[in-house]
Amino acid sequence: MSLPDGNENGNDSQLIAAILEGDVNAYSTLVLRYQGAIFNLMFRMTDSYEDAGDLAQETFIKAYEQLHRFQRGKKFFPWLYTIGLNHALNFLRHNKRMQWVSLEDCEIGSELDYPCQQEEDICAKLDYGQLHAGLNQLPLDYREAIMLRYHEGLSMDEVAEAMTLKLSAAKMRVHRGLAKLRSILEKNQNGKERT
Amino acid sequence: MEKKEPEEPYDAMADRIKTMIREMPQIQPPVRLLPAVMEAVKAKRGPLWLRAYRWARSPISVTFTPLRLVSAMALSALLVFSAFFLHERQNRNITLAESHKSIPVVFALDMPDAHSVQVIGSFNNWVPQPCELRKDNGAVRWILTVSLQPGRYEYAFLVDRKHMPHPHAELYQDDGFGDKNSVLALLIADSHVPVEVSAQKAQTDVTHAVEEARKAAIDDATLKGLLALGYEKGVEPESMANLVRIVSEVKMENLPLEPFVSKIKEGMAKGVPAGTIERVLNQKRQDYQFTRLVAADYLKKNGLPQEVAFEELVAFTESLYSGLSREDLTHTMEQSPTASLSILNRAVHLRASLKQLEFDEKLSDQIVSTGLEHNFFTPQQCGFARAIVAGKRKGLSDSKIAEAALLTMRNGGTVAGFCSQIGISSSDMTQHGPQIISPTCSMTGT
Repeated sequence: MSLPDGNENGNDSQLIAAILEGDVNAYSTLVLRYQGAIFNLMFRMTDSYEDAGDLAQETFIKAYEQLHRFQRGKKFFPWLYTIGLNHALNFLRHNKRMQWVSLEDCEIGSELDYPCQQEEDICAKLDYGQLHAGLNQLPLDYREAIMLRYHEGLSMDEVAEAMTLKLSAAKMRVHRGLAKLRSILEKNQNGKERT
Repeated sequence: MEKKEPEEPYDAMADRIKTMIREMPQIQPPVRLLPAVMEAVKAKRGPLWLRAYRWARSPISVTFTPLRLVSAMALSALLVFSAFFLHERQNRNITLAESHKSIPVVFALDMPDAHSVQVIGSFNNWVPQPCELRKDNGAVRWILTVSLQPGRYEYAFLVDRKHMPHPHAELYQDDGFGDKNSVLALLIADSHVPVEVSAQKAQTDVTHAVEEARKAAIDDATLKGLLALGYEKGVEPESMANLVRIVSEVKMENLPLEPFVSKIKEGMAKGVPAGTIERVLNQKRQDYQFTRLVAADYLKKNGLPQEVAFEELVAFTESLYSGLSREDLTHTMEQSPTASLSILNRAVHLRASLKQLEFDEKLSDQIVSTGLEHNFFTPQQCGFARAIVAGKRKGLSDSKIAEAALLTMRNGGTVAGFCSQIGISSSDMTQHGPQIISPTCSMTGT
């Protein structure tokens, strides 16, 4: 799954230019294009369908209000995502629902060293329920980095832009996030088999 | 364009995870999301407003060609000559350089327990400037030092973000929005050349209003400043158009723009509703029209064939927000012998100060008329109102202050002499109100 490239009904830059020239309705194409990604980001952040809907709506309204600040030549989605992520973080802070998991506390464990055969078994048994649970156990900085990279199909440069990181830091987030997720998935499956 | 990343060794588990993340099903967003967003954005400020804002944020370009440079130099020379001529004619003992140089002003507030103190005013576009908490003359005070050109300024403190006029200012003025500002009058320089412009019909939306304003010769920097602030403060486009339209009309009526532009910025900075700002501007416009008529009438009656300079017009009109009525203003003019408008303005300023101090009315009248009669309200005596305020705050009676004041004025004395008569030291003057560090306005000066 990756984001549409935006050529069907005009690319993002053309749409933004049209909106700034007075065509408000052009914004609906942008909303349609990115509502799935933004809503799912909010759902991951809040685990609530209602809150995710409200936060997604507020994110699109905020982006519209800030559209004059959008730099030409940049990609719209990373910019929109930054607004959404900050908005969600503010919401969580305000509602005291922020669960801080320090990245340092979450270093990649090498304690689980499975033999090759066992890894193949884990691989074969992996389903979306387990993946979802594993993603939820990741610190959000890791989780969002790997979601942007692999689910939304962003380049490393765009991941860095969306998360306001340097390119090297973004690469590290994705790499470590993936390793940590793998470790969590292996641990979860191992625990399940023991019970 | 995605950069090619270095290939990693084949890892079946990692690949499986990546593929699953890529293909992970999404939760469908609620159907109402799109209509809700579109309904909200359509009700928001229009894209024309956005366009106006983009224009407002674009840099102002200034081009100099050699020809323009020569014209500019010639114009500067002309202005300097005109100013010098006016200056000499009014027989002032200050140099031209002094009349135009910046004057350091220290704002000090004795509230060491406050968590934060800032100063807002017409000199900083009502953008809060933080004060520093430090020791000053043995006391811990909040201090801000700024450099200001001669002129008339309104200001107030923000103490822990709450509006508070200076507790010891020599003059206060209603801001029109329900609060009071303090007034700081620094020596007013003479010179202004009003520009004639033709009238244009106003339209309702922002871009039209801006076009009309540009036709009315309002400079881009002023317009951009207003639009950018209006947008950032969430002013509705119709209201912004109305505000810009009023500014255009003010310009077309050949009234000074600065007090109107500053009032809009002040209102926006204080979060005043645009409708209230409009009401205040319309009242201000009427007041300026009234004062211009009265001042022009005074000049005509006294055979002074000069125009009412903007600086003088501003000072007269703004005194109406310091407690003086239109009747007080006309009365002061009627009792004045032939004098320049700048001298008359100092008399008006003093009358407003006395009124705010609840000084005895008859004695006030006597002080003002005697001062005018003896040509006392010259720039050299500009600390006079401050000295009276300091005397009053020290507990001296009105009659004692008036007696010393009348004696000083009749005998051609100075403010310093007046102070020593009523027992006021320079520290009494400087510990209250803003401290003005200027040779032409100091207690120990001429």
